[in-house]
Amino acid sequence: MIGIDLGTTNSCVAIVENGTPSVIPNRGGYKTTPSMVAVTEAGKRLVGHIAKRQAITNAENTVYAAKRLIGRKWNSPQVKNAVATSSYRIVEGPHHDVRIVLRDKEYSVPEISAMVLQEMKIIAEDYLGETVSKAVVTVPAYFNDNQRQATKDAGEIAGLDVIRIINEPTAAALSYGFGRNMEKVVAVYDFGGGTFDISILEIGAHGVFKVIATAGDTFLGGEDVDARIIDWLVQGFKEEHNLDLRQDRMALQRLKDAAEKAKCELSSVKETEVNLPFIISSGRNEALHLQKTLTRVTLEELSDDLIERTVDICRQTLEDAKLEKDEIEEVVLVGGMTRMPKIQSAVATFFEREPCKGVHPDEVVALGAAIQGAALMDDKQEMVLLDVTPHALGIMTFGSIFEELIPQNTTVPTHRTKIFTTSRDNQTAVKILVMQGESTNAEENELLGEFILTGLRRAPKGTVEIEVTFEINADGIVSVRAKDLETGLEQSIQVTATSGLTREEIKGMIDNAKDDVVDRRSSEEFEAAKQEAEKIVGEIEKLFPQVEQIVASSDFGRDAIEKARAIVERARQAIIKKDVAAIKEQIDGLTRTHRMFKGVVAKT
Amino acid sequence: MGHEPKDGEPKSSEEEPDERPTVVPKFDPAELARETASSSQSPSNPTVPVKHGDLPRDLHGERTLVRSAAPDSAAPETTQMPESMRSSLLSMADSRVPSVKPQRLPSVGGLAVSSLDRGWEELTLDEPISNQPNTKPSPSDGPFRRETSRLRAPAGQQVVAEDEEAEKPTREHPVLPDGATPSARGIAREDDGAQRHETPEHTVFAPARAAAALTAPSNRPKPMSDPPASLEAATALTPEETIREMRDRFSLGDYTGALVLADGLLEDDPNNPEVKECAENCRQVLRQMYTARIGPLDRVPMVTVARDQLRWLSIDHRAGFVLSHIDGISSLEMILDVSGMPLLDALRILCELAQQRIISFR
Repeated sequence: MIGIDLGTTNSCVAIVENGTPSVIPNRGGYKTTPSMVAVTEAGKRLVGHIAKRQAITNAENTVYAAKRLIGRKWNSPQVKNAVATSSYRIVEGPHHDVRIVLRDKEYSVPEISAMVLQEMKIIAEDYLGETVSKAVVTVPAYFNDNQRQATKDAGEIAGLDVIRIINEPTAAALSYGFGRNMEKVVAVYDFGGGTFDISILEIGAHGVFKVIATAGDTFLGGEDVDARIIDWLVQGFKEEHNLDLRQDRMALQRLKDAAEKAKCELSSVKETEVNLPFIISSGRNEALHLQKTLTRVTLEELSDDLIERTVDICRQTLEDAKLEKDEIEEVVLVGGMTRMPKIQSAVATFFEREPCKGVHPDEVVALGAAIQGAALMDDKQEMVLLDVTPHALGIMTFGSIFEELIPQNTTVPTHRTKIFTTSRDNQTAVKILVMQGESTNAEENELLGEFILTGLRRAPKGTVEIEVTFEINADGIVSVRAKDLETGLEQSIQVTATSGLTREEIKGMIDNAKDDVVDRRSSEEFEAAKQEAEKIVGEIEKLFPQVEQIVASSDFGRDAIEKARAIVERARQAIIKKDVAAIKEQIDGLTRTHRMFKGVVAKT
Repeated sequence: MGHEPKDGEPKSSEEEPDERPTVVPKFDPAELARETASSSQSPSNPTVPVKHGDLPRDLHGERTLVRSAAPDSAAPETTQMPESMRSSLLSMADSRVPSVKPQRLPSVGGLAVSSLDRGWEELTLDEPISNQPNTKPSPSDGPFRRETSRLRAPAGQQVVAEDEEAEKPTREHPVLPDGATPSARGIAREDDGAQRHETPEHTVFAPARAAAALTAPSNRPKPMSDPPASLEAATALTPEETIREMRDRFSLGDYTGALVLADGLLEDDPNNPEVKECAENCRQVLRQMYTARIGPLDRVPMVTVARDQLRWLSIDHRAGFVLSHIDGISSLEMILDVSGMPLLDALRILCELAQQRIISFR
């Protein structure tokens, strides 16, 4: 069981080993992996750091921040915004869902997220040395059922059984050690690479984490700070050389990498040097270099308004939650940006208390997911989070008013009933619009489904009574039933969250993903065998002259040399043919030959 | 050239009052021509011993004129000159393009095909093309067959040019610049490879004419896509003439030159099947050549120049970009993936960085 923080810009995977939660580093040794997917000109798929390194030079075919799109409908404002601002192409899918085009091939958003999840799965499998099949995945507290279902589908496509989806602030609070029979009100300030979220949680006994309020900005993150540094560097270079570095993608890619590096460094040092030799060539074909010193003070000036924006959102959220600052008992910092000293001081100033420290802000969410996963697997553990409805459920009534039936954070399974009446004289039918959300204005909430109850008795308005029942079963499936109490006539609808993909589509994607994993694994197996064989061949080659000299006079020795050459040649042929089995077979012979050669040389 | 510094040593220059260490001396073809000519003519300037075969020989035979398409060519047009001088000049004249396809001698049949040729055939295109260069040796290739018979290049084998010592630019063995005319370097002698005596085993060369395109380092920053002077001249030709020129270049092994012409033609007529096929074939051959040159793509390159010395290198911003991706962890394959430029360009830059010893491999 693994815990995965599927972030907008970075993802992280953690496990609980011998009772201790820990993050698993990827092959590069990094504990977080960029949530980026790219397809190269040669059609090769890149995921993680390698995709990030070419994100600007291959911008049209690199997907970033797919999380902003997951589970959303094509006509949603967030998708419209993404279509206008993304460097990659976003098109409408067959079910009014969102598709992304990479090198003329369409991918669904869960499919893209699945590639990231698959990467996290492989990182865990490489570390553990065994197959991983179950996971707890985190999502933002504001994700609706469709977004959560789409995340689950992504997990399924990646070959993971997502046994629980938990809220990111809840996971963060868990890894800070809250939730163990303590009752507290906690603020989780999450400033990540691409998004900012502030959540106020009420942690109750028996593992109930109630999200009192959550707000944020899905287009405010560390990348905006990077952009400010890039602007500063570009402007300085333009003043010096009258050249706009933004016009060159390679220059811009290097600037982006350097800006992020400088930003991270300035969390621990007061100044850093940005040194980019050969950043661009001038009109006279002369290579120019960029060398500038960036101080922490300058960085703070550049990002001051961004930090202020996060504080404003915190202020608004507290007001919405009708809480005073002194009612917040702990402040938890999440996200890489919170390592910035200026942000820590801004948070401390606003909440009038020092934030919790001690857990790495990049890892805290994944660790919380792993803790939750371990708790679910271990029956003896007391701390188990309960599944709750992330948003309120209800129906739209006359005047576009949202009438709530099941409140937010209600533990499931549950059912609630309310009685409504007709709004017009002689009304013979009512339309039940099932919605999800917290706004009293129904139009601002998410429409989950609708149905019509007909055959009502003709009567003045307000006299016919209709009973509406909402029921959520243990699997999270919502059923809504409307019943005419006078006639007993009833209609119902079953609402299941959908990612916008059909079962057939998901099945096809699972098969494709499996093929990709098999290809990748066999390629890795070949590389490992090849490297081993080439290493031994190299050592044998080095010994050939010496051995030839030693055994030159003996027929037996010459025969051995010929045989050794044949083995080396066979190994080479196996490598050329990429025949892993044959390479492995030859490795035995190579090893024996090498041992024999070493023995011959040692005896002399 | 005795005043030029060795690798990594600071270079003092009159034009540059501040001492700028440089790894690769800047290349001046005119100076090379003067020095090469004077070294073979003037007894007061002792000739540095040149290993036979290190310099390309005449393209068409002993007494054939290599006609230059480059207007600024420094080589005099003459049909006869001392052997040593001519060979030196012809090594420079790589940049010249014969306007007439050289007459081919009939091939001598299967038995005469050397193992090197077989290896190359296996390395090159799977599908025969109409204007595929004749890689069969001519009867005059006798020594070539004998001397290279121990080379092995089985089909599909990952080939590595390990004789960097033999091909790196040195004072003793000047190598032509790539940057100025990358395509034109492909014009080398057909039997150039015959002169490689001390080739280690497991090394496979492209056909000599193509291999020349690999050996020359780029001392001057110039994008690969920039056409050389001779190709610029070719743009004045009609499409039919350009196609003929493209065919000639391809048949002579100037794949880079042929590719530049093909790309130019495709801009006007993107559906011309012959030009498309030629462009694709050129890319394929060049890719194989560069890959053979640079070795297995799972190798991890490392920057050998100190960080603070990097800015004194003589490379362009594209090479600088590739260099910025070399972190001692990423393999060549990864670097090619993230280079954000056409594969051929990235491969060429990596080859040049390795040749200039700016990078080495683990």
